[in-house]
Amino acid sequence: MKTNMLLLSFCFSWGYAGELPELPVAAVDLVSAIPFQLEKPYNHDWRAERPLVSSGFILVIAVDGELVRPRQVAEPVLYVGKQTAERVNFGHESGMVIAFVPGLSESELKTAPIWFGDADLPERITAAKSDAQLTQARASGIQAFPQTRIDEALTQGGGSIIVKDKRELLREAAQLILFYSPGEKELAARFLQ
Amino acid sequence: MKKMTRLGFALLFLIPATSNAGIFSCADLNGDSVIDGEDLIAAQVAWGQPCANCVADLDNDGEVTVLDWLTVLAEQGGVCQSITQTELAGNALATYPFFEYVAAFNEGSPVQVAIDPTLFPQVVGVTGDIYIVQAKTFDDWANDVSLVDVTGDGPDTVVFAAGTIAANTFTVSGSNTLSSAAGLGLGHAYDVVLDLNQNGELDQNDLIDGLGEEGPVAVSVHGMYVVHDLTLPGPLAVTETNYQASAGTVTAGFESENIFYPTNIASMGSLPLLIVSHGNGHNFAWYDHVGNHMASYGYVVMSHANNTVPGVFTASTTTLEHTDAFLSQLANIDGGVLVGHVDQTRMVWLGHSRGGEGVAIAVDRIFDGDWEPVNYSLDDLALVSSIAPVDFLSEDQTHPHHINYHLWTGGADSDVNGCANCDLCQTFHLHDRAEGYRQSISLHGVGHGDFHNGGGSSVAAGPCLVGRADTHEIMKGHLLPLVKHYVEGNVPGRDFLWRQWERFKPIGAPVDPCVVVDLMYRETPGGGYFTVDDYQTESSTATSSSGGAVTFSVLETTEGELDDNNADFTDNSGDIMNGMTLGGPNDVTRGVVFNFEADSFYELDIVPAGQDQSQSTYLQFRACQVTRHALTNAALEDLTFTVTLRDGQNVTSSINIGSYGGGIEEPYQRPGCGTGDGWANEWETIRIRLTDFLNNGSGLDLADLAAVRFEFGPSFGSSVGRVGLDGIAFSPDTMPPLPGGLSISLEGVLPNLVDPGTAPEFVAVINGVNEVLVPGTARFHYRLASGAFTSVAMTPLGSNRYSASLPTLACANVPEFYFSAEGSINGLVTFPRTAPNDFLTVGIGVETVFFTENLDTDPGWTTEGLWAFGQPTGMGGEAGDPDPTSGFTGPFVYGYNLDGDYENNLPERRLTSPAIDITGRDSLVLRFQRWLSVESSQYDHAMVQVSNDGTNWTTVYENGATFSDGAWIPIEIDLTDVATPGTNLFLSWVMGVTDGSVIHCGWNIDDIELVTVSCE
Repeated sequence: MKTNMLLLSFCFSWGYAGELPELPVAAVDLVSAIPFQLEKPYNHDWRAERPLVSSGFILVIAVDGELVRPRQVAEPVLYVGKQTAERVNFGHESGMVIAFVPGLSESELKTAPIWFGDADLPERITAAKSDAQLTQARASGIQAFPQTRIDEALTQGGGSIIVKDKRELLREAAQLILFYSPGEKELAARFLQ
Repeated sequence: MKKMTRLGFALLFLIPATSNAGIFSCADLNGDSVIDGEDLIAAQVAWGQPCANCVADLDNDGEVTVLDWLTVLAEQGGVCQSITQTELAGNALATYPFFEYVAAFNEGSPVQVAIDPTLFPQVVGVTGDIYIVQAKTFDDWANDVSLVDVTGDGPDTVVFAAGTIAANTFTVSGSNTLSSAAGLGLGHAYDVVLDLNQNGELDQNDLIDGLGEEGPVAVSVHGMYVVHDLTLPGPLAVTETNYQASAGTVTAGFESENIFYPTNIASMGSLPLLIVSHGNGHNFAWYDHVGNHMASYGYVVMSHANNTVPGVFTASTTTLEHTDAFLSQLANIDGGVLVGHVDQTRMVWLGHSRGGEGVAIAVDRIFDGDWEPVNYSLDDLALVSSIAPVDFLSEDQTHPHHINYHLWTGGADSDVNGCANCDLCQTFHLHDRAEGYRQSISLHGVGHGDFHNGGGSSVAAGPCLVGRADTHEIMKGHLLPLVKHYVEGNVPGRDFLWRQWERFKPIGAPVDPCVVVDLMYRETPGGGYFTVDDYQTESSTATSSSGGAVTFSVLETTEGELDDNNADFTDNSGDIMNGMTLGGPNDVTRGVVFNFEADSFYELDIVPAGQDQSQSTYLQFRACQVTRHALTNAALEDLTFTVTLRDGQNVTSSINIGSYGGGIEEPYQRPGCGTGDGWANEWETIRIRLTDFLNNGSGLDLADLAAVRFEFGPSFGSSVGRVGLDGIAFSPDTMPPLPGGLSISLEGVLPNLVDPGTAPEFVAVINGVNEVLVPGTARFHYRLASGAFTSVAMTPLGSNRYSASLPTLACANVPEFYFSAEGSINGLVTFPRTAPNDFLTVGIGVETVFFTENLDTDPGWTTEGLWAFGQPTGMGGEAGDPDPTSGFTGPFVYGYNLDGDYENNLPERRLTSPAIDITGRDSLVLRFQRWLSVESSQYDHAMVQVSNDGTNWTTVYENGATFSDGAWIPIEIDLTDVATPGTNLFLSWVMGVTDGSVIHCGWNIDDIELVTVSCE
């Protein structure tokens, strides 16, 4: 007997995570960019230093889905410039990833490459590692998206938001998940509770 | 608690705590088999003495009186009644030892009874009745010796013959109809009796498999158990619900919980708790097969959203957070139906993949003191089980320590694939690190995704894939006895953890030939456990780790770390440990490998300390076939060989491991990870009952064993092979410590400092839930300098309190101490738990307060912002508690905003003392009374800082999580390492920075002191 059921049939499928393409590899496109500010900072678990986050960007990034297909072993780490991005959804079926990028400013967004670096656990990425990864990415020719693309993404984002805390930020991300990766609506529903 | 597996324990004495044990009383006080004047003298000597469990107390009234003496007098010239307790129930074998004694039988399977006439000559020529009766406790037997057969066919009348055990093996009529009904339990218990005088009573000269042992906590062990189909749901209806943990109590975005509990839980007691932590890309709702199954047997199951994508450390955080959150928020779930019905002292953590490593990291974090749970402790974890775990953080952090540990591995896993080129993909590392009871189940053809119920791919690669449905049947049938064994002490459940799968498995387990299961099992090496060779020390192949000589004719014999030393499983003469994945680069698990192509042996001498194994139950070891080796591939099948024991008189007895069904499985024939077929080497534990070596009059003396010999080749089993071998030991038959066992705690607060010339006393509180203290075992261990600890008995004070004192202390002493006691079931327990490696300590010296400011008058310290001297008004507390209304002593304090809370968006605001002369103060401690309420340091800050120049500050205290004192709290901060002696010292309390919302009352301080310690 089930009571208070909140979960319906889950359409998300977790397929076999095959071999990874050669890394580093650039993101396919930047679709939307929304600057945010937080009243209550949170710790960014996606790097070793766990810095406090009080501002940054929510990005919607088009990616090769195979790079973000979940696997238990190390996964390619998504970077924006020198910062590790927190992937809020999986996105391997939609090819669309909603990510929080702490501390990113608009000027940095215009110059920062968005790419997947070596497979690792984000919680182990240190400043030194991310610097090295950025150097590697640049050396392989990965560059920031063109200015026009950045501007279009900012326009698509609809302007900056101020939210109270991480949970409210996740609610904002949930709306983006419903729009850009509707197959993950259950994940979005969790963030909207 | 031990099952009587020794060969025939003749009960001659009254076992205590019974009131009517006349059937077991025996006036043969000196044990010479006759009752005579010597026994009368013994009774006279004991007369008037108080005694517990003494043999002369024949009426069991706690003392030896004239009544006991008169009993001896009346029985002079007679003999004691003798009931023999021994193994009787089991299964016939086609080859020597011709019978295996077991505890568990699947429902519908016949029960066979066997007795070896060479070991029990008293049965030869006797016509007797075989009874299978409802199991009784010892007390029950003492009160009622009547035999009531429950097979439905009445007792079987048999004639016991001379000769062999095979000639005295009987299938008990009707035994295949025995009930397995056990309610929420596992296994319906029976005792088996050979009624040799056919009088329908358990009495003189009868034999019994069962009878049990009665301890202070009533736990009985019975002869046999009939077990139902463990894959079927239990008797309880199950309710499933979902819950969101309160905001701020777990990582944001991961609040979800999927909960299963018995629908009628309101009428039940306090139930054990199983917590599930999923893997990366998985979903907390994918473990309903586990939740429904375990809840139907009386468990509460909670599967939580797990923060796995950043990594395994964050996953461990969500396991830790959710365990505490669930236990503290029961009132919020389904109207509070779980309140009072969740037993946090009996918990299991089950993690999958990254969650599987996460649960082991969670254990390590608590063990290391990195995480302090609020509502539970490590002692409350009965078991940690990891499904296909990764091993990112290695032995330094991914470590189960002493917690009972279990591992699931799918041989076809294409994610955590176990290949040699991926150390973090090798699941067995976690198993071999475990220091307590540990076991594993390896499943050919099972993929990573088969373990959950989320649909989608099995994430499997390899031949003969099993699939999700069959995997779940295996899981249900294995998880249930595993958990019940460790949480509840279930006896028959253990049989499912180590007996060869080919011979014994849950009724509903799939019979698909693709289903191949390997089991490892090891009890905690401890009392009574003798390791012949674990290969951890003594790297010479000619000497065992126990110091005995090792001789062999097997080929290419090499000891080493069980870690494949290249990146594939390709057979390679340069990779001696090919296929070995029990250890990683920083692990030290070792074993031996060798070949055989003809009759060969590998023999280990038993050193004197291990030669008497008459009290042990099993010879055990683990072995594997080495993958892709030509000798393994020569015959891809179970590998068998013979184990021989030789005693000091050169009497030998040999048993082929195949006699028990199966052997050592061939590796899963999966391609990839190099050239050829065959995946990582899969180890299996073999346990041979020692008394099996005595069958049919072998004459072997288990009290004088000289050697263990493994014999290979066509005369002894498989013709050829390459074998890994490890963990050769003699083990007792022990049960794991039950959670809720004896614990020791220190009464009061351990002082930092005691005066020289004093002998400080300490009081320990010793109590338990599932066991009691063995009288006289509470001890205090101390030393005053490095070296051995001195042990003294503690003095009982009543109410579970015991005291002991250090000797008179001098300034030069460095006192270190710990407590120990023995529990009635689990044996030795210490405080600190890891003593003597860890211990308590106190400093010696005299405190001198050289600076004090009690704030009775305004000292005129420097203030910024709303810092002020005065009487607080008890206002504030928009969040947390309000300010006090007076100081700790007197009316005045220094506080930040005496009329309320601190402000939002505050920069650092200081209260600073004047310079304080600390010349000559080599040790320095700051004390003050604190009344502080502040939001988490993620948002707001409250600090204490010191400086030698009033400009450069060192933080000696900073707030962590949100908290509110709500009362005056004494604070002590050691400044010895941060303040430079011979200079001035400035003290500063800092309010801020703060964020833009949520304000608290902030700082209030009183009675500031600086203290130095000296010893003369």
